[in-house]
Amino acid sequence: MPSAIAPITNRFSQRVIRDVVGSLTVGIASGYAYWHMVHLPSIEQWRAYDKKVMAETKIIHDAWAAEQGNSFDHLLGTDNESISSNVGGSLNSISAIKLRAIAADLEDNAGEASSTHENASTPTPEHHQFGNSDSLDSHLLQDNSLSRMDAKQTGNIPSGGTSSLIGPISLSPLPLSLDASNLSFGVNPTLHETNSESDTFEPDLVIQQSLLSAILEPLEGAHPWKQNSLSSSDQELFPNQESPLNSFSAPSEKSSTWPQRRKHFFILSSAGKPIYSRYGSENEVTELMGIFQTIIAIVDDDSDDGDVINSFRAGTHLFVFKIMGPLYLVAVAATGETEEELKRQLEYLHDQIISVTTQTQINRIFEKRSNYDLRQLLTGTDVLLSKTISSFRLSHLHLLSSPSNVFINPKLRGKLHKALSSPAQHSTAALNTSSSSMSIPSHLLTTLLTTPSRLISSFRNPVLLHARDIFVIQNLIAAAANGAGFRAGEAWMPVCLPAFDSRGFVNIYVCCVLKCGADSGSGSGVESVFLGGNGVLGDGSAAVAGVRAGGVAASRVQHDEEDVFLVAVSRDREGFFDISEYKEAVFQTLQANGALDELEDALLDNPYRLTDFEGIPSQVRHFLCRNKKKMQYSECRSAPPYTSAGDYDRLQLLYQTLFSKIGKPTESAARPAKLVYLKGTHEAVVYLATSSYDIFAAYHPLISKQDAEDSTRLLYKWIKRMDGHLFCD
Amino acid sequence: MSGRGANSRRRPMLKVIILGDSGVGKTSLMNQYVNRKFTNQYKATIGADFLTKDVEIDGKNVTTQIWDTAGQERFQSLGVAFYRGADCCVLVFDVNNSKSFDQLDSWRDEFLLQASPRDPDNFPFVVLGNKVDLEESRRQVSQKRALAWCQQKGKIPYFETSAKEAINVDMAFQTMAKNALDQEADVEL
Ligand SMILES: Nc1nc2c(ncn2[C@@H]2O[C@H](COP(=O)(O)OP(=O)(O)OP(=O)(O)O)[C@@H](O)[C@H]2O)c(=O)[nH]1
Ligand SMILES: [Mg+2]
Repeated sequence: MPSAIAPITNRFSQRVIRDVVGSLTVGIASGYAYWHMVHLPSIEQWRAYDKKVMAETKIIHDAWAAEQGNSFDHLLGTDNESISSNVGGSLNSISAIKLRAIAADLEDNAGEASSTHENASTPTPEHHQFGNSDSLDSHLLQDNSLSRMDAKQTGNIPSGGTSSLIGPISLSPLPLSLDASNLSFGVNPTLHETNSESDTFEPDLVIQQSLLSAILEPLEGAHPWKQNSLSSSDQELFPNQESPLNSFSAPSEKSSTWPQRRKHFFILSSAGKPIYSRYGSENEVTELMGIFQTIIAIVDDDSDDGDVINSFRAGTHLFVFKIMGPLYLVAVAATGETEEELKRQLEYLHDQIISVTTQTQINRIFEKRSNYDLRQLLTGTDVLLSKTISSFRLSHLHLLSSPSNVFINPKLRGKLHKALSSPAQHSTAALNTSSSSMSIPSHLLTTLLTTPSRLISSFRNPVLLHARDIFVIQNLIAAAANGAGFRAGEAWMPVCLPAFDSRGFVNIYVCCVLKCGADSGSGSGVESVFLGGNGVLGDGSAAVAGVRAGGVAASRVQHDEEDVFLVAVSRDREGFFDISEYKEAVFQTLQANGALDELEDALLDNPYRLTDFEGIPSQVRHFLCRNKKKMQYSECRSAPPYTSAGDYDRLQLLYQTLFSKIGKPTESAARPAKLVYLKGTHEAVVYLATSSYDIFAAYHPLISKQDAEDSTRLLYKWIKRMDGHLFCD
Repeated sequence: MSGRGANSRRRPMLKVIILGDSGVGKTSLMNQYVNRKFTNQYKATIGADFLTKDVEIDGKNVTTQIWDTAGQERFQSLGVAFYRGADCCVLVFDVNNSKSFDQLDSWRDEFLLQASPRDPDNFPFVVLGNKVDLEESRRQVSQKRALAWCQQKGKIPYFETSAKEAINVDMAFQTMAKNALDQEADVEL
């Protein structure tokens, strides 16, 4: 019996097991298959898309926030729908959905931003409506042909608010889709036409079009100065693949794969000969120089009233031109920096050239020979220019027209200043302790105690140097420091300080008085590298050549460990020995009163941390403050997130935006306290202008406006209290 | 540029302007010289083209920056912009087209007016009679006539060239660069 059942039972249980096992296997397998082959990829895809959109939004927003600081006002009261339709015409590479999202984002901020414009005194920016071609046309239809190109286009965003439109000529954005063949300036895009005699033909437009496409082509394709650009990883931001929601955007966005972080500087002569290019070998950029020269000259020639080209925008790139006598300077940037800021940077670059030649010499040369190849005279100046360019990202000197100062206590400041202004006679050494001070050389104009990036103390006798001149000096030291230039011995050289007197040289004495910096790899070679020293050098180029002997590419100087230099500016070419004696007296005094040791300790704590002080509200993430009377600024040490270059750059852009909103520094001195609050995606920033300070502070993006304002006011109180620590007289 | 050693002196750069009537072969000459290429197709130059070429003259390395201009009048709105700071000017005509030769005078005058070089009488010009590869029967400007003009204008060097067959092209540009360089050396600052 059991045998009769057993097989059945067995068979039954076998079947059950088989069924269960089978269905489990199939189920699990198909589950796995679904999970790995369908679900995960789709999650991945959405994540990737999310990331992409976030990145794009961030870039666009940052650029927007920086350049179109005023455009928040435009967006106010404009509903999302109309923004996307108006802008969509020209920004055809951004899908309408994204635009709407950005617009909503911006509108959020705009509400906050403009409601804090409690100041009726600020001139409200003109309200240019997007796509209002009437007002645009009337602005742009001056009798210069470059602007005509834009007038033909509808739906352009006015670039950079009021200032650039008021400026002589300003070119609004070209369409984002910039294949060179697809530039729509209202004429047939055929560049080389085979003898067609059509009447509608406008040579001027075609000429400019061909010139522009010649510029844009290299930007698009693989080109030497593109390959050398700062980051290649950013190219990932706009991958060529079709994004999931992009189906109804214009088909041409494949061409908008421009890397984001890109910045180039060019200097050329008015004849179109290259003088300097940040990237690319000279032959590779020669053609570009010719094109720039032509663009500048066309506008120059076409306008009778001395109009010159200021800038134009091509997609994400802003081209900014600065004409300084016989030299043309061009900045090309996709960093989101404003025209105003880039122009300022070009001026600082120009100062570098003047510092080794003088304006007078440059003018004379080009009057005599417009074809002069200035590189002959500037051999080796590249290192000064490159150093200047890298300082744009690290320093606020250019923005605030003031050097930064270190944090030290007022008592030490007093000692330092005393030593500079009335150094004790040291010739009789230890015996004579009576404080008979030595007489200061009559040809001494001013003395600075400075690191390559920050001022410590200054003594005016009687001249107070402008920030531009201080920068020339600091940059010279910084450029030489990479080759350990001024660390040993004394240097004496003619330098032209462009703000003080661009017509001639003064003589500069440099000597390192405190070595805090690590011996950066130069080892025993240090002494021999330096040649600028002890002699009196005849002409400018020779002197700088001495400095240039130092290496060109070295690692960035750590700001925290910088050497301290004594710099004396003298009128007298033969004054070296007087000044050297003076320095010795200063040095002895500093050593005698212990100031050097104290200074060394103090510098270790610089830049100061926010957490070092009770009085700084804890919400403050970062701040920057300028004393308007002393014209110096102070900045706290960057803490995360601003320790990363990208985040710091973004913060700098925001500060720039705020600064340009308030207006010229000279005007603001007279105005009552004012406050602007701007909320970005990554931080909220506040700008507080009082009669004696400009204060910029960053907060968490979700801080309430009231809290941000309150803590900025507390910060102001702290700064006022600590003024003696933060700034020198 | 920072990659370049501080002490390696840069090669001087010469700015060369090519002028002449439309279709005489300016662009073709430049292309032959720089790229060693020639095409029978005619594409009018619009505005300007720029090319550079490194050459060695008497053991000295120089870079020539060649500005090829448009011959067609309607594309010539650039004037001063182009001529300013030129080191040398190349005047081109077509030996098979006497009108293009007659125009040389006005091209030269226009250049001197616009560029206003310091020493107009000694400014380095070079004259090229192009398209000598075509059959002799089509020729309208004799070598003698061209040479006479050049002589009269201050001993301008003259070359008979063909962009198509690469006749005398290198020679012409070489001479031009040399003259420009000599001129350069003459001037004291
Ligand atoms: N047979 C022959 N044809 C030539 C020569 N040089 C140029 N051509 C032809 O002449 C025509 C015009 O040449 P281009 O070089 O474009 O003339 P261009 O002077 O630059 O004219 P524009 O740009 O209008 O000022 C083209 O079809 C060329 O192929 C030559 O040496 N021999
Ligand atoms: Mg041509």
